[in-house]
Formats: sequence, C-alpha cells, structure tokens
Amino acid sequence: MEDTKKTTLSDVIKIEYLNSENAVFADKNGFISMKYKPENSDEKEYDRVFLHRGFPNELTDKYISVLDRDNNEIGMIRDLNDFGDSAKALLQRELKRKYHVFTIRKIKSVKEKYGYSYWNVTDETTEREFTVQDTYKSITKITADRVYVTDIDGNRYEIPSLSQLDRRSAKRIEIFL
Amino acid sequence: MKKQLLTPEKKREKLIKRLPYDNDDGVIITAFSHDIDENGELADGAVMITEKYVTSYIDGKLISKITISDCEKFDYRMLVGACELTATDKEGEHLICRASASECEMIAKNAHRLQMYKETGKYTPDSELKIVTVCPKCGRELKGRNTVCVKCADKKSMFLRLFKMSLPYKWYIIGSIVLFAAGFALSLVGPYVNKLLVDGYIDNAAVKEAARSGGLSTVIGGFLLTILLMVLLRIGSSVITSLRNLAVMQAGTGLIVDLRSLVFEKIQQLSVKKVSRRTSGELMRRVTGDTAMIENFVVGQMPNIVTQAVLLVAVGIILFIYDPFLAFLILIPVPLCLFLIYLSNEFFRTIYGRQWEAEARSGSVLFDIFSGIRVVKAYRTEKKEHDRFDKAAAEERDISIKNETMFNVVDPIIMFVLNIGSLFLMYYTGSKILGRTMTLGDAAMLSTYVTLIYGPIDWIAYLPRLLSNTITRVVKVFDIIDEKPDIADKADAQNFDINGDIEINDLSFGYDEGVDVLKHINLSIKKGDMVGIVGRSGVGKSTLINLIMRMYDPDGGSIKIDGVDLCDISQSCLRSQIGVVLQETFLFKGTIYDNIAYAKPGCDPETVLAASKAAGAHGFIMRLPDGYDTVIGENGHTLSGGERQRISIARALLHDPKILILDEATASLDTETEKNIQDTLQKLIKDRTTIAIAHRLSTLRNATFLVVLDKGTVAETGTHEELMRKKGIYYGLVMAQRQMSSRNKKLNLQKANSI
Repeated sequence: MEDTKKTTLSDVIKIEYLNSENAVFADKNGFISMKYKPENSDEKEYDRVFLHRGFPNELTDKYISVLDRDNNEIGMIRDLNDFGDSAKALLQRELKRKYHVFTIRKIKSVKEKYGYSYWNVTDETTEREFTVQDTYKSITKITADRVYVTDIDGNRYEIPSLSQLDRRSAKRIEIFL
Repeated sequence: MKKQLLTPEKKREKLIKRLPYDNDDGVIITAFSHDIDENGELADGAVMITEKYVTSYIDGKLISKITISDCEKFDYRMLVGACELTATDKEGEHLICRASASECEMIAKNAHRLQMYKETGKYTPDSELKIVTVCPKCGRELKGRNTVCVKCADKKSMFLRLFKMSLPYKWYIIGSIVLFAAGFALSLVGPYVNKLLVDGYIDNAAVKEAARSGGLSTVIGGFLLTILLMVLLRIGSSVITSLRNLAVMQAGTGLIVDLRSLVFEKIQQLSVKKVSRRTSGELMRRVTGDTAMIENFVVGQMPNIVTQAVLLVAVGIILFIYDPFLAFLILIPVPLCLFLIYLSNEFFRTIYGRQWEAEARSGSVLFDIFSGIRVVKAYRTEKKEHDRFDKAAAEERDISIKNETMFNVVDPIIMFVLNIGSLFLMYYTGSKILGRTMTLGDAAMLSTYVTLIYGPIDWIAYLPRLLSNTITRVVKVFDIIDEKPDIADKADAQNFDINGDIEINDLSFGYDEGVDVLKHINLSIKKGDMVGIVGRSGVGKSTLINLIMRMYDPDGGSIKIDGVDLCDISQSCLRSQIGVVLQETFLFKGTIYDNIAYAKPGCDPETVLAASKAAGAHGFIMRLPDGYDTVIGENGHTLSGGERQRISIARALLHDPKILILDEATASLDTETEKNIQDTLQKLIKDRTTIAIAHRLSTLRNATFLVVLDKGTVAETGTHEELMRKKGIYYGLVMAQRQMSSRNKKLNLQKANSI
C-alpha cells in the first residue's frame, strides 16, 4: 500500500524555541546571561547572549533570536509572553538597548538643500536635529501610517502614526511620502 | 544649521578640562563624548582614556572605571541605530559606553585603539585615527561618511566642469549664440520696417494724394522695396534659425556622447559592490536619461537663457529710448509677475520632484515585474503584480493631475497680470493716435516690441516647468496592447490535483523559426522520481524545464502530466503545483519575509522560518539588523548570490509543490552549504517529482536517473553508475570535472607552499 503521509517542513526542520521551561535569563554586569537546557541534552550556560528580532517592524515581541558571542543562534523566543514577568522585563530592556530608535512626535522643520534635507524634530521632551541624504529613499513606509526615517549616520527615527501628527508636521513630511 | 564650530582637537581639549582627573591615573590619552546612556536614552556621556584606566561618565557622574591592565580585550559591537564599547576582564564583560549611530565611527576607532594598546603597548595618536567630524573650512559637522562639507562644496565648480565639457563644441555653442543674436537683431528691425510701411505707404496723406492724382508709380518703387525688405528679413530669419538649430544639434549630439561615455566609464570604475547597489534600470537611467537632461539643459536651455535675457534688456532699452513713460506703463505688471513666478517656482520644483519620484517608482515596479516575469508566471501572481503596478501608476496619475491643475491655475494668472501691460499700451497709443501725436506705424511697432518683451517674461514662467519636465518618454504602448498572448488557457482547461507523472513524447521546440533547440525528446518520469538533466551549456536543459512549466508551447510533440496534455491544463492549476528555483534567482523589492512568503501569501511566520531554515537561509537572515524585515531589491540590502539562492530555495520549499524544479539551484553555494541543503531536500523531495539541472554533477549522484542532453536530443539515460560504466558523454563530463577539481587542488597547494 502506498504511503500517503507527506513529509512536511516541520518534520524535517526543527527550530529550537526557548521558553521559561528550558531557558533562564539573568542579569550579569548589565548584560544578559542564559542557562539553557536543550531537549535530550545537558544544560548549557552562556555568560552573555544577544537578542535579535526576526521581525523588528511587525512583531517586536515575537520570534526573537538568541545568539551566542559568535553570532550562532542558540534558539528562538516565540513570544516574550512565554516568560515570567522578571525575565520578560529583562529581555525587553535588552531589546530596547539593542534597537535605538528616536520617536518623532512633531516635525518642526524640514529644509531641503543640494540633495540633503535638514530635519528638526521632537518627541515628548527632546528636540533633535539630523540630516538625511536622498530623502525619498531614506524614508521607509512600514505601514500606510507608520514610517521610519534613517539619517545620514544610520540613526533611526520612527513616526509611529502619521495620522496622529499635527497638521503642520504631516504637511512637512507628506511631500516625501 | 551651524551646530559645531570646534575642531576635533579643541572639542577634545574642552572635554578633558571638564572631566575630573587624578594624577595617579597616568597620562591622558584621549577623551570623547557620546550621546546615549546604557538604556539608549539621550544623555551627555563622556569617556576618558588614560594610561591606566578607561573611565566613563554620564551627565557628569562616574559610571565605571576600568583598569586597562586587567582587561583581556575590548569589543566594539554594532547594535541597530547604535553601538557599544565593552571591556572584558576576569569578572566578565563590562559596558564602557553606548552611542548613537552618529558616534559609532569614533567609538569603533577608539575600541581598536584600546585593543591595539593591549596587544602592542602603544597608543595610536589622535592625529592618526583620522576622525574628521567637522569641516576644516567652516567648522560645521561633517555628515555621514562625507569628507567634503555639503555647504562648502563649490557649486560653481560643478557648472564650470560642465562648461569645460562643452569646450570641444565651443564654436558650435558660440555660433548658436551669435546666430541667435543675429536672428534677434532681425526681429528688432522687423517692427521698424513695419512702421516704415504703415507710415510711409499705408497711412500717409502724401501717398493717398499721389494715388488720387494718378502719380502712384512714383511711390510704388519705394513700397515694393519695403515689401522686399520684409521678405528678405523673413528669409534671413528662417536661414538663421535653421543654421542655429544645426549648430545646436552638432554641439548637443557631441556632448551627449561624451557625457554618456564619461558616466559609463565612471560606472565601470566603481566597485562591483557599489554598482550592484543600483539596479540595472537605475544605471541605464543614469547613462541615458540623466545625460540627455544635462545635454538638453546645456545646449538647448543655456543659450536660450542668455538670449532671452539679452532680448528682455535690449527691447526694454529701445522702449525707454522711444518713450520712457510708455515703457514704464508696460513694465508695471512685470515685478508682480516675477514675484508670482518666484513663488510658483518653489512650489513647482517640489511637486515636479514628487512627480519624478512617482514616475521613478512606477518605472521601477515595471522593471521589477518584467525582470522577474518568469517568477511571476511560475507563481501565478499576474493579478497581484497588476494591482501593484496599478497602484504605482495611480499614484503617478494623481500627482500629475495635481501638478497640471496647479500649473493651469497659476499660469493664466501670470499671463493675465502680464497682459494688463498690453491694455495700458492700447489705451496710451490709442489716445496718442486720436490726438495725432503718434502715427499708426509707431503704434504697430510698439505693439510688436511689447510682444517681444513679454516673450522672455512668459518664457521665464514656463522655465521651471520646462526644466522639471524635460524627460520626455515615447513608449510604443499600442504595440504592446495589440500584442496577443501566445499561451492562453483553453475554454475547457482542466484543474486537478497533480500526482506527479510526466510523459514527454517526441518533443521539439525552437525559439526561432527553423532552429530547433530540442529535437524529438522522449522521457517518462514517475511520481517521486528525482531526475537529473545534464549536458553542456546551451544544450537546452533550461528550455526543457521551461516547456514543462509551459512558459512556451512546443513546436512538435507533447508533454503530459498525469496523462493530460499541458495545453489542456489551466496554467493556474499547473503552476500552483510546480515549485521552481531558477538559475538566475530573482528577488523583488520588499522584505525578505515577503520574498519567501511570495509562494504562499498569508502563511504564518513559523512556516516561513522553517522553510528558510531548510534552505539554509535562516542563519544569515538573523545576522542582518532587520532580520526577516530587511528590505531587499532596489535600494535595499545587497545580498550575495548564495544568499539570494537560499531565499529562492526557501520560497520554493514553502510553495510545497508536487513537482519541484531546480535549475542550478545550488550553484552559488559552497560545497558544505550545498550538501546541507541537499540533505534537507533529499528528505523533502521523497514524495515529490523533482527535476534538477546541476553543473556540479556530484550533486545529482542520488538521482533516480539522469538524462544527458546533447545537440538538442536525449543522448543517454540511466543512473550515475550505469552511465559511468557506459563511458559516454556523461562519463566524459564527470572526468573533465574531476580533472578540473584535482588541478585546482594542486594549484591551491602550490600557492599555499609559495606563501
């Protein structure tokens, strides 16, 4: 009789997913260390691990890769909620440190000259000035309402919601979208 | 935006003075500031390096003091939009500082310097670090990796360079200016001759009297002479215009060839990495479109700007000499017009910039789709791509409508304001004629001069639009629209679940009439078979799989899947069940995730992760700052050939096809990665029909059977062992590859020994 069972990807490929059962994160000198017990293997201890989001734009708390010092993936966190509050807070702190993004709430001015644009923006409290080269190409639309601006140095600025910007700010960025 | 007027040295000196220092710390090597704290919040951070310690401060408060001699190493790490500097001693790793991307270059150089000190005991002086952060000329901060301040860059020199490039054609350009000046002089004489005609022969009492008394013959000679003069003026003007156009064409065609050759040469000089950052479409545009725009500007518009300006001034002077009050009346609306033009200029510059971007975007979408047409068809996503193009075209249309609407509102206003001057002229000259202080000829002449003076002003109003919209496109739209699709579904085309049996009977095909690439091919492939197709380059291997995918219809014979002729299966049914990894991997502009999920829109991330891991792509993707959200394609992240291929494989695996086609799918991969993927594929393909083309014959060792193509026909079939025993074409190919491989090994060994 013919074997009708089809081999699926998940039969062949196994991604190591980390959760509170098999991984314990701790603070060490302000960095994250980890003890991990893989299935059918001995527990391993890592004095520092690094986090990397698989989908930094869309799923910020999901599918986070945990890497060792040599950038080899130890496993993936399917969801930060798979961990207890303290571990989750620790992981969130580490992610905040890794992804440095300035949130733009207001665009005070954008001046274009000789192919560069000079921006003056603020978040709730702080004012920032930055320069953008090739403005149209340095603005990435994540969704219809959410954009990233990358400045000439590689700094990232996020506008979480274009529709929430005041009228003047929206007008200033509108021509580049 | 003058932010920083201090040189790096002075900035450092000031910082060192500000920071606390103990003599026991040893000689101060350097100090640098950074802008965020350990949590990424904006802060006033500073690091001082002395002979003994690395001390870090945030907002004036001591954060850490690390003894250099205790440290094993110093590390610099890139974060996303930031970086960090750490030190590792016996107790583990310690953070020295974090900084935003603006400061990362400096942090990286200092990390290197500390590590070098650890290893050699010597410090690299600041002067050798080559950290240039301010413009030596104006003191402003230098942006990005620029070494030239954008504000101080000499704009004039760019025009001078352009001017120098035009030098070989200087005589043509000078000639065109001289000819324009001559034409313009003739146009100034025209109105005067007109006046002579009107005042001397049409509206002249003496002439009327002579006509009445029958002595007209005495004035007819003068009259004809004036007419002849007018004819000569017209002929002269036409000849001059033709000569001028000829001169402009000579200069223009010469300049455009020089410019194109220069840009092409420059592109060739650039590194492959830099060139591959740009798409072929963009490079083509640089070489053809942009150079044409410059040529048009230098040869077409520059002499025009000069001559129109001269015309404006000259006619203005004539008018002032003739009647200053009249000239004043005529010129009243001009400042208002110029002001309106100035205001609209800024506006038009921006909106035409937007239009250009929108055009570029839709062009790029088109280029993207056409370049990947095989992938589009293979995955049956024509509708999706059509929608994508429609969206880009609609965006372009909306901007264009807005621009044209604005132009058609603004332009009539400018024209109306300008023509108020003509009304003044009519009133003034009319009153004077009625008062008999001006002749009809004078009025006609003045009217022509006014038209002449308003010409350049009107032209200035058009100038921004002209300059912003110089790229003209001639597309043979109807040629494409009228084209009939050569592969169409029959009305009764079948849709069914493919099992995977393929039968090829007496198949013949050629791209050109009469030139057969494949001749009388017969093959029988059963479900679950892994068939390797081998043969020399250009023998028709890819053509055969193109035919199985029904990218073309055969000229003779047939291909049947599960006993049904391909022509009777709907293309959608066929292609949705065939997965393909092509030799030339094509990735679309979009995120890596989108590119993999292209085969199965709406699938969950875990399936994508699994497919990518199976294809050996997960590792390198997770090393990218934006992971699966990394944008690739035009202006996106540049991937290597191997990386592109792995994404392409992941896409095909996600597709979960009944028939898997691998056209040199692992050619860009190293042997180890290839083996890993092969092992995974081996497990995945066990119940799928797989047809693989591979140059590296070792990868086809496990094939159920191999088909050797030669001169468009099936020359040999059999397993690897059978064909090796046969010592035919396959044997020859394997032996040639082995020889090559052992020769390479020898060469590598020789090289290694000589080092």
